[in-house]
Parts: sequence; structure tokens; C-alpha cells
Amino acid sequence: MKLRIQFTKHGSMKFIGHLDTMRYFQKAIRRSGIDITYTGGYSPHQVMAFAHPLGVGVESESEIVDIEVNSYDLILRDTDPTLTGLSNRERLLAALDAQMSEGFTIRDIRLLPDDAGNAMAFVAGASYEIHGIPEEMYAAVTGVVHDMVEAKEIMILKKTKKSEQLTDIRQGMYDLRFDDGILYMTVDASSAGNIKPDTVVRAICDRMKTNRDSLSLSVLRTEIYGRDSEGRLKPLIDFGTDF
Amino acid sequence: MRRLALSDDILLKIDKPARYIGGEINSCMKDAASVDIRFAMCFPDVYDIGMCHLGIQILYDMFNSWDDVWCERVYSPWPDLDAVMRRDDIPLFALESQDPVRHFDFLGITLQYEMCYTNILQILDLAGIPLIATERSDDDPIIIGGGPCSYNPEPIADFFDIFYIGEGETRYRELLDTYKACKAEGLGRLEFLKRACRIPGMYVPQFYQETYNPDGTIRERIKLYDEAPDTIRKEVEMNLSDTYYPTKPLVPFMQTAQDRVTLEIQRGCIRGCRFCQAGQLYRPVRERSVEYLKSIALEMLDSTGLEELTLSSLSSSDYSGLEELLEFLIDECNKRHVNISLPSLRIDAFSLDVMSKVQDVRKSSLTFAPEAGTQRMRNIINKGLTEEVILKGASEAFHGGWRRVKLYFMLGLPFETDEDIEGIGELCNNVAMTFFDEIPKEERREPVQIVASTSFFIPKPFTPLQWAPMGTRDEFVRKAHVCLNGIHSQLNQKRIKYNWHDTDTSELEGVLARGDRRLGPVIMEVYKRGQIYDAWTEYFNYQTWLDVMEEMGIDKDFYNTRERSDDEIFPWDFLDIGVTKRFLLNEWHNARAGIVTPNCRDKCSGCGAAVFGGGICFTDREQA
Repeated sequence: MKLRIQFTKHGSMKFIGHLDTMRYFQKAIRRSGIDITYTGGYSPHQVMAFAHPLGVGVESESEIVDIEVNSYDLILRDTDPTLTGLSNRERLLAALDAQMSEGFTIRDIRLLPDDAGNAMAFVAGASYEIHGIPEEMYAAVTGVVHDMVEAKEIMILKKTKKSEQLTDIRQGMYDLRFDDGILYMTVDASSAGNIKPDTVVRAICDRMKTNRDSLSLSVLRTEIYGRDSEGRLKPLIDFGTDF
Repeated sequence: MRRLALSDDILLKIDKPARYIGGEINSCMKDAASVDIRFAMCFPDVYDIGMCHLGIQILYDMFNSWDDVWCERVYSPWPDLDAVMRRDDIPLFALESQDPVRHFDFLGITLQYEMCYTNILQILDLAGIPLIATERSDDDPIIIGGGPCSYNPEPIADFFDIFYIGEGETRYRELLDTYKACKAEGLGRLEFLKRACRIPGMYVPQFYQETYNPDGTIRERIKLYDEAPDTIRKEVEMNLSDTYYPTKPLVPFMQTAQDRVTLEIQRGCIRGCRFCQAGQLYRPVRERSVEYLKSIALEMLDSTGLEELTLSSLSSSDYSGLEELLEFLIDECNKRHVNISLPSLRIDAFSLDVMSKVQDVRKSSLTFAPEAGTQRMRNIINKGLTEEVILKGASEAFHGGWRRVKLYFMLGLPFETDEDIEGIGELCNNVAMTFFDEIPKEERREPVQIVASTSFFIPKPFTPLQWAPMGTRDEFVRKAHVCLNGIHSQLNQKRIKYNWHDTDTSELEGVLARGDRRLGPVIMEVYKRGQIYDAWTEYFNYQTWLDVMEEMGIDKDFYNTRERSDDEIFPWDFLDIGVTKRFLLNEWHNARAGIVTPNCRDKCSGCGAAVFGGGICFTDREQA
């Protein structure tokens, strides 16, 4: 059975990189007793897939990791009195949440349909909030955001290890708003067209002739989406059901 | 949410910010206002290395089991952060509370290797604590050192208030209670140290002074405080099955040098190899009971979720309950999908059988540590491993499917000749020959691979070879080439790969290992010239050390290449490890004569460790 876990990552945990977060969850799942499926061989691995890596320094309200389990039992923890009388979903959620360090919380666990594909390939978009924009810049940001929303294309120079390439980010910028000093955006997060929130921030700064690196901004991911059968963005966690 | 000592801007610019944020699973948070003593425990190297150290985990767990103490951790900031902290005047902080170390009651520093000495000064300096112990005020923490290098603490004696000699389980409670009593009576630093030095195992270096003969050797030690003891005996925990053990070890977020549950099965070693310091320091051999180990192993696996477990001891094969313990661990680890790693196992039918159960034979390699190339040389160092045993082990391993063999040797051992060095190549060749003689052609699809590694012998205090001269850089380079030529002249040389250890580091380690108080100013000056992280080849700068030694009139050859006379007073003679100097000297004479000394299980050789009243010294020996 495939389960989808939704978790938050806050505070100093934003300095834990993606690979370390994966390792952290592998250990947390062992401690929780969740009956995760292992691959065979001499160095067995848990069947586990993260939907989308979160950059170092970015906090999140909604991270997604899918796991495969053999059963809803808690291995070696079936006698824990705090976990009796709960539904399967509640019990696994409580067991895993109890293993979190400060900054991580388990928000939800859902059962995925058997034919659910690879979480990573399924990701279509992500929403972010940018905090910490200085007040004296509010007016300018409002104007630039308006211009960018109206623009047909926004060309930026994408640097990879090998080359530099001009790319349009307007198509993948599904939503961009500036409200009460917070910049909200929903952007493409698919493997083909992923847009980093910082790329949008830099595009705004460039238009304002402001040095991005002089600003102390904090970035919060608020949602990760897939696409439903009609092609609309739908939070990844909502593809799962109660169990 | 915990507040961090470093700003987001700094943390996002430096390498691996996870080193500095604390908050790991099983780290201990307490209310600073509700404890009497704040203890900062430091491993003076980068987090990735220091986090894996079992000794600190044991003490961290012990201290935090006491309600009146909060023990936190400190590691050396990596050079990138070091520069930022100096630039922005950020004081060194402890990981848990993120509070400045300067305001703690104690700063404990573990001394695992000589090459970390400049990092000790980095720690003190960044913390804002005076580097010299006698210049500290009542407001500064008490700086206490412990660990293997505290068995010759003299080169760093100037920087420490106390050295705790021996195992930490036994006397810390008494020391902390004495500290609390002094605080309650309004007594200052000096009064506390005067009381502390009367607690067994506590060495307060500022109460002593060394005088020297015209030839540079030590004339005598003078006491500057009459009540200070003449000798300090090491502390040992005699019941290792009823003591502190971290059943909830810390689980770091980032990948560290050894990401696994460590099960210390015993302390000490029955073997008595004459070059090995640990083999003498940790006598007598004391085993933990199988029942105790079973129970703490499960607790640790369940509390950490780590995916690997390793046994820790100087020679695991000598643990009397090994078979029963491994059978249990293999079973429990299989249930949990946990890997087992088995270091320091003698290669024989039993260990090969166990290893084939826990690892992929084709991908793993086997390790032998003959330490020397000829039997003559192995008798000199009392390494009871014969070529016959190695070849038999190799043969069994090849039949079991192993194809990779590692062999460890030392160069520069006392009384070594070029034939002994060339013997390394011959031994490696014989291992390869065993493969071709015994494995039929059709099973040789994957070729045999032999890796020979040599390190340079460094005489260490409290070993029978403490009297021995150490080789120079140039000699080591020559010997490495003799060894290489020896390997190249072999029939199967294409199957043998050869690595050797850096010579500059070895030479400096030799000076610091058998050094005295005259080296304190050298370490200080090298640090002041910007040198830290000497244990890391990319930061080690031997020239700075050579320059400073020359300017200060310190002759490294005095410490390294001189053969010491039988009656020389050593800087560490005032420490009592149980094993007597008379026994060690006798062993030194046996080495010269090539006489082998039996191991502790076969026969007691009267080393002196029986003075601790337990362990193998009082266990019935099997009838030979």
C-alpha cells in the first residue's frame, strides 16, 4: 500500500538540506515502527520518494513524501497505550509525529490509489510566500509585480553548469501577487519546467535595479500541487484518501 | 523555537550549516535557570568527526542524567565560520542552548589526537577565554582535558586547569560536588583547584614545575603546592555492565564520519602489542556482560532508527561472549533491516562465517594487520600474528568468495632492517600466491586485489617502545621506497597496490606525543600565526611548525630520533596507569631480544594492572 505523508519544516530545520531530510525521515520511520517496505539485498532501502526537494534556507507548510507499507501495524510498538483506539490513519500519524524534532510536524497521512504514479513525476506546481521585503520598497514591488503579470513573456538568463540560456518564466508563473508586504507566487514545479522562487525574486529585483543579495528575505513553501483529471492544480495530499 | 547564535545570513553562506544549529534527535534541552552547573563538552575538531565519538556521548548522557547539570556540546568551527566569527566578534557557543561558552562553569575538551592541539587554542580564543590557565579569572570556565592524549598532557599543560586522568564514569560527580561546595562557600578558582587536585584522577598542572638537565632531559618535578599528590593514578570503571551508557545516542541530521549505533563490548586488550598505547592504557581488560549488551543494543536501535550497528573494542575476537552476542545481533538486526559492521575481527573460520551472513562477500574486503613484514620483526613488537595464520585466513576467505584483502604495516619500527621492509612485499605476494594456488581457474573471473598500507611508527608514552628512537622524514621516505621496490620485485606485483601515510604529520605527531612543557609556547606561537586544523592535510602547514621550533630553539630530533636511556625521567612518569614502568622497561628489553610475551588470557605477565582489583587479572585462565 502506498501512503502519502504531508509534513512541515520550520525554524532552524530549514538549514537541513534535502539529502539530510531524506535520511532524517528514514530514521524517523524506523523509530515510529511504521511497517515500511524494504528493497531486498545486502543493503536494503526503504521504499520512499520525496515529491520535490526543498532548497536550504526555505521553510515549508506542506512537504510531501510517499512511502510503501506492508501493513498498518506498528512494528515493535503495538503496546503503546497512547496509540490505541485510533483509526489506522490517526495511529500512524501520531506514531510518526511523536518522532519529529522541533521544526518538523506531520500534518497528514493519506492512502494513495494503487495505480498512483511516482510522486516526483506527478508534481506540477508549488506555492511560495516571500517575507521580509522592506516597507520602503512596497510601492515599487507592487508596480513591478503588476507589470510582470501583464507581460507576455519574462526572459531570464538561466545558468547551468555547462551553459547559459535565455528562458521565459512567464508561462510557468501561474500566480503572482503582492499583498500586505508579502509576495505570493504559484509556479511550475514539474521536473521539465521547475521555477525556483528565487528566480522570480531576482527577476523582480532586476526590474527594480535592486541587489537581491542585499535583502534578507525568508521564503516559505505553502503548497505542492499535482494536476487533476481536468488539468487543474490540486494539492498533492488531496490525491489520497482516509484509511 | 530555539534562537540560533548565528544569523540566517551567516548560516546560508557557510558550508554545512547543520553543524551549528543543534536540535538533533536525543539532544538534551534543559532550563538553564534550573541547573547549578553548565558543562560544555568539546571535541576540538569539526562536528562531522566529533559527533561520532563514543566517549563524549557517554559523558553527555551521564551528566544530563543528573538534574543539577546541563551538559551541551561544542565542536571546532570550520575555517569558513572561524573567519566570520573573528570578523563579527561572535563568541563561541554551545549547540543546545546556543549560549556563549564563556559563561559556562566547565569546558571539557577531549584529547583524541595530538594534531588537534592548535584547535584547542582556537576553541578557547573564539570563546573569549584566556589561553593560559594561570591568567584566567574566577569568571572563566574551568578548562578540563581528558582522553588518550591526557596521558602525556605536558605539551598542553599551560592551557588546562585540570586533566582528568582515566575513565570519566567514576569521579565527575565528586568533582562537580566539590565545585558546588566551593561556589557556596564563595571560594574562587584557585581554592577550587586546590581541592580538586586531591580528588583521585585529577591532575592540576599549575601546581607542578619541571626542571631540566644540561642535556635537555628532565631532572625533576617540583611541586608548587604541597598538598598536591606526587603521582596521579588513572581512574577506571570496574563494572562495565552496571554503569552509564548512552541508550539514547544523538542522531545528527547531517552525514557524519560514522553514522551508526556503537556497541562498546569491552575495554582493554589482552594482546600487549608493544607499539600500541591503547593496549597498555586501558588495562585491565574488562568485558561488558552479553545480557547488558543485548539490552542496550536494542534500546539504541529503537531510540535512534540508525541503519547500522558496529561493535567497538580493541580486539573484538577476544571478547568471550562474541558468538552468543553476534547470533543475537544478527537476528535482531535482520528483523530491523539494520546492517552490522564488524571491525577488529581476527580472520578465521568463525569470523568469515559471520561476515558472510552480514555483508556482500563480493563487495567487501578483509583486513589483516600483521604490522610488520617478517616474523623477526613481529616478535619484536609482540604482534602474535604469524604468516601461517594469515595465509590460512586468506585461503579460507578466497574459498568463501572474498577477492579483496587489505594488509596494514608499520615502517620505522625499532631494530628494523631493509629485509624486514622487503618482507612486506613477500608477504603480500604469498597472499596472492595462495589465491592462485588454491582457487581453480574457472573461479578466478574476478581477480584478487591486495592493498598494502604502511604508516610510520610513532613511539607513544606508556608503551614498551617509549624508549625507542623514531625515524626522520627522510628515513621514512627512503623506507617507503624500499617497501615499494620490494613489492615491485614480486611475481604478483600487479595484484598489489601500495599506499603510505604522510611523513610530515607523523614527525610532528612524534614530537607532540613524547614532548614536554617546553612545547607549550611553540603550540601557542604556531596558533598565533594562524595555524588550525593540523589534522587536515589541506590545512596542515609543517613549515610553520619548523619555523617556530627553530626560532624558539626547540630541536625536534631531541624528542624524536634520540634513543632514551633506561633511567631517563619521562614527562609523563608522574602518571600511574597501573602498568608499571618496570614492566614496560622489561618489555623494551624483550623487544630488543625478540622475546614474545604471552597475552593476558594465556598467562599473567605481572604488568601491574591487577592493582585495580578486577577484570581479566582476576578471571580464571583456561588451562593451556
